[in-house]
Amino acid sequence: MIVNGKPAEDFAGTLLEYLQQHGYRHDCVVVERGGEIITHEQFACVQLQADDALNILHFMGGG
Amino acid sequence: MDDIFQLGGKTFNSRFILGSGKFSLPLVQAVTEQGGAQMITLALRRANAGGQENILDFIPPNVTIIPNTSGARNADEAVRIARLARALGCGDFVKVEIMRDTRYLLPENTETIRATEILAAEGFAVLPYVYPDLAVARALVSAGAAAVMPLGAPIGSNKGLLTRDFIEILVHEVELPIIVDAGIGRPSQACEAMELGCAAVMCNTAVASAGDPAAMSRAFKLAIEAGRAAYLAGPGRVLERGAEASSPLTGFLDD
Repeated sequence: MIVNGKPAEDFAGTLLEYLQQHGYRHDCVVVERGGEIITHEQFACVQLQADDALNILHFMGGG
Repeated sequence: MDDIFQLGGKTFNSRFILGSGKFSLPLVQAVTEQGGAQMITLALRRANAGGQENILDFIPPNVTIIPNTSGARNADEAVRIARLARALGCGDFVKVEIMRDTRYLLPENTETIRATEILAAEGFAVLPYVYPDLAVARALVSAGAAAVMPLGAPIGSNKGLLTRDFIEILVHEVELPIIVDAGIGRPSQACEAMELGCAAVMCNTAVASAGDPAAMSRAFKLAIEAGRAAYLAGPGRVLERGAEASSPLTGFLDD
């Protein structure tokens, strides 16, 4: 997989499980997979694939 | 009389929009509270694994989140960021900022109009950051913008209202709230923008780079309120030349 632009180990499980196991605040992130937006409600339904490219995004300070 | 500010279908009492960049997270909370800000801008970026603190934890619950599209170099990227930000569930506001110029950070007005049109059609309350240009502002009205956000000076410069006369044209000619964004460095400059009739002022660096950011945030709050009050009061006229005594010139030593 590619996560946030960097190679990452493949993960057998759902997106929600991936986020939880890697310490992301899943209530504070939105994920883009292959250009598609995946919202909080969908995290538990999305099975990750070896060829996935994910952007895991959150708010931070900005003007 | 209550002086409320309506923007994007919401009602606000504060006309101070705070940018949240360059602060520690606890300071975000302090400057928001001290400034009485009811709107705050945020950026969308990649999250790090293992990060538990989130800026949303430090923003008071009554404050409206305005995601920005910083990093976007064209309309398509801005639209992408706006859609992702809305998916985070913080409402329909978006501040569209599109820049290719990395030295002066000047906005791409044409791309901004295009992004505004797309996002407004999708139900966003679009706040486009632009160089103050009347034709551009009119195009933004047609595109469905909720306000126009002209720059006072380059982002982060603290140089003040360098574009004052052009912002004033927008205030007089455009039927949308004019919100000065970028470049405001001192409360006196925010006050001046409000005296001109701007609907609100946005600041970030001016507060973040102050010796005491929380105290400076409060100073901006007071200045913005003062400027608004002066605008509503109707500033007095300016003499082209000469003087006009405030005290009677007769009645004592003139005989």
